[in-house]
Amino acid sequence: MTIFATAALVRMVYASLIVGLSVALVFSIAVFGVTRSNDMRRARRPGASARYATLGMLALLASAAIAIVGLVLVVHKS
Amino acid sequence: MSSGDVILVIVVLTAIAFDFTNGFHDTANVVATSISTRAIRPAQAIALASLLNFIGAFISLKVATTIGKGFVASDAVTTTVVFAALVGAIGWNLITWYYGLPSSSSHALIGGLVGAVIAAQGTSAVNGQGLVDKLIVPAVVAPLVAFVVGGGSILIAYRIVGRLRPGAVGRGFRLGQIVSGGLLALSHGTNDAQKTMGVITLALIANGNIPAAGFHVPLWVVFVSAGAIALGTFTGGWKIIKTVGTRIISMDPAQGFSAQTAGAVVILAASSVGYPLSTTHVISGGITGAGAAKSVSAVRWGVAGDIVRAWILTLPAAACMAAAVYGITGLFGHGALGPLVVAGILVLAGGALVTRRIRPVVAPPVTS
Repeated sequence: MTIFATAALVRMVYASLIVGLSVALVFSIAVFGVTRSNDMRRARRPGASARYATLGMLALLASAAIAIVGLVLVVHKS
Repeated sequence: MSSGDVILVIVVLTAIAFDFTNGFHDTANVVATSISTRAIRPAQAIALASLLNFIGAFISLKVATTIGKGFVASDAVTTTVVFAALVGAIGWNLITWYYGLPSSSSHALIGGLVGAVIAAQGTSAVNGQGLVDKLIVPAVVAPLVAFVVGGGSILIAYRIVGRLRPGAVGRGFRLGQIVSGGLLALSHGTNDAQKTMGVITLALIANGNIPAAGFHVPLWVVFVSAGAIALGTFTGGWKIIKTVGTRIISMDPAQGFSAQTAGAVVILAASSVGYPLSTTHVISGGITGAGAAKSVSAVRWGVAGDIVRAWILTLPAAACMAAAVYGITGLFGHGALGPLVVAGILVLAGGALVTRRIRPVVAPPVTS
């Protein structure tokens, strides 16, 4: 016997956990990449600076993608 | 104009007032974190939050449907019942505001609706299972999920950027906060404006303006609800500018980003499945999680306890008030006189309370 309906609740919980923690992860990587890129540029290491900058930009794009896909899913499912 | 139409007009105006006060009251929750970390200037934060509150009201109607169909039998609802529900909720909000108790407008509204329906039709018109499934269980679970997401996010962030220059990291997360704060405002508009849409639609069905079968929210109701909450947010925001930095919690930008992201994703996920949450409780959960992950002792657990106590009290108290309002309205017969008299008393009593205790509306600080 089910005391309360769990399907929607479980969907809410796992969507929140996955999206929330993913955004934190990729945005932190973006901040890491951009910050390290600036540090490398100051240390006159252009190669490393470019690699960190690329990492930062890719992570930033991934953050934006997660946010946009999340919103689209909310609108679509509603 | 029939007496039913007069009551409907009173109900719609009362619902708009409720929606406005909801936005007014919740502005601090939505923008406080961005302002306290100086991610964005107060005026810009409030303008952005108002705009996104308005837009957010258009992205989902599932919560409105839950309010309209999930808790009470729609054929048991009359315009007077909706009126009593709104007055009960506003009355409870005014009392908790007067005594400084952290209360949920959303739970007060649903409690009021249930109380008024019980007074009018008895307990058989209330969908108890719906209340458990779509209100009580999500109300307990959602803030806990926000707590875990907020705490987990800040641990991830500190793990990745913890050894970098704090100044540069802070600038990065402040930029992120502009987006996460925007998402939080969007989610707030989505979930909270829909509650007003739900009760106005219930009143329209009760008055025979739209058919009960095939519940749908008219576009003008969406516009009015979105506009009222956005205007409330904009107006309420100006009060906290004067107090920001004194009572609002002290967080670093990474914590602010984590807390806002946690609040936004939980509210949006809940909205997509139709749960009418207390956005205040969810945002408080995210803030507490982000604070506790850094230092458990930094969290003002007493405030968190007050929120829990107020939450337990809100549903039955608002229900009792709404039932009493329904009874008082009935003393004047079934026409528009009862709602008119009660609305007049509410305006006078509310005005007296506000005059006796005017104080800035700020988010309850849950971390020191």
